[in-house]
Amino acid sequence: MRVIGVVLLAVALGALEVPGLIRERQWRQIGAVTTILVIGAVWAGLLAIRVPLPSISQVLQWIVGPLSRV
Amino acid sequence: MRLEPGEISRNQATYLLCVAVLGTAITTAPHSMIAVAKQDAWLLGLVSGVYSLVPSFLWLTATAPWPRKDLFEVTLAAAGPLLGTAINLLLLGWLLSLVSVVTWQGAAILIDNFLPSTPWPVVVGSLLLPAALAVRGGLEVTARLAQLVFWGLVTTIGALGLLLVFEFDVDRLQPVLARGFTPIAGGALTLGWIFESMMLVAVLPFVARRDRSWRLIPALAGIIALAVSTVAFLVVGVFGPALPTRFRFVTLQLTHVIRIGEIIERIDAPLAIVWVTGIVTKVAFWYWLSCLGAARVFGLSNYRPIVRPMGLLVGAMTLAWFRNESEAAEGIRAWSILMLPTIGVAVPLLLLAGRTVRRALGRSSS
Repeated sequence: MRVIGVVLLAVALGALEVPGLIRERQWRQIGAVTTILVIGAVWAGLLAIRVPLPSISQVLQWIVGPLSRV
Repeated sequence: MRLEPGEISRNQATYLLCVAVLGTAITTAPHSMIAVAKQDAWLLGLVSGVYSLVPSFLWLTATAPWPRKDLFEVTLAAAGPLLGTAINLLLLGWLLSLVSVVTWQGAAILIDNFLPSTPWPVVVGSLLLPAALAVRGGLEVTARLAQLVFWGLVTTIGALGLLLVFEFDVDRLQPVLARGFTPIAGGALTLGWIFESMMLVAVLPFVARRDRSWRLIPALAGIIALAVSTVAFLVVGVFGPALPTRFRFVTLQLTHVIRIGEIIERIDAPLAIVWVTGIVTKVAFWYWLSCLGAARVFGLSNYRPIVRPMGLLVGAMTLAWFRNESEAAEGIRAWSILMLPTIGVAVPLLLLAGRTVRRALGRSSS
């Protein structure tokens, strides 16, 4: 629960700019902020609830492993 | 449109890139260097310095026609909108992986040595938060920080050399080149800093006076190679070639053997202050470059609103990199091996080829 709380806090911190951007009608900036926040929040959320995702390093090994054998 | 309004001096650019490499390399590199080259680890550092010149000069040549455009604008100008955007996405992916690996290393140093019971997300967050503040302040803030940290790092290496003089034994560095030059020539290619220093080209557009800036490349390679080699030299001279492979952050172990009279002992606290500031500065530089890249990819006019969301993404990536610490050493090595031929060599060559083709077709944009 604490980790989920940390994730929610980080999302809230990341979204602090959004009201100002809405006032200034910076739609492209809002789109970028939202996209990055959603990707980050989903990823951090999955890690927080301990979904057994492969690590980035493991994925890299799957790519580099066959290459190094060639 | 210029995304970064700040300008820095040539010296600041050199200090910034030195800290962007040495921030973690000073503590992490000796372990992997000694694992590969044993007592010849110091030679490995020097050879990697020579290797680092290749990607650096390739990148400098590829970006030279556009001295005032940032790295991500140059790729669009050289390779066209389609290929340029693809290269920018590749660069952004590399930068995000780099900043998260650097943050992971920084967090590992802190947890292993100073904060063993603090949860990972807390340590990662406490590294990213000050870095995010520096990034929001712009390049000038990070460059000023690097200027301070650089001399701190130089002083700590010098102080270690002086204080370890009674523990140092030259015999531990013998025999030189016992297994020949091949392990050194091959091993130097796996050192991550070779392709970190090439990102001097990302800073050059923001340097106030850019004339003869190519001179910064050998200067940078020389400073970093000398620093990394000196640390490896000290570690082997004090511990020998076998013991350091058991410690991941063996440079910190050096501080534990310093005992001069009963006055100078356990000097790890002042060194840790400098090194942790170095880690934060290193994270801040790569974080800044990632934000600049993301802003270009999204076509934004300002990168500052995405600094905090990028922090969340980098934090998530940092925690997702390795399942455990034993996976980290092999993972970082595999990542370095993959990145040198792609980002270090293939991408600048692709930009040069793209520029030539576009010039031949009469579509050059300068």
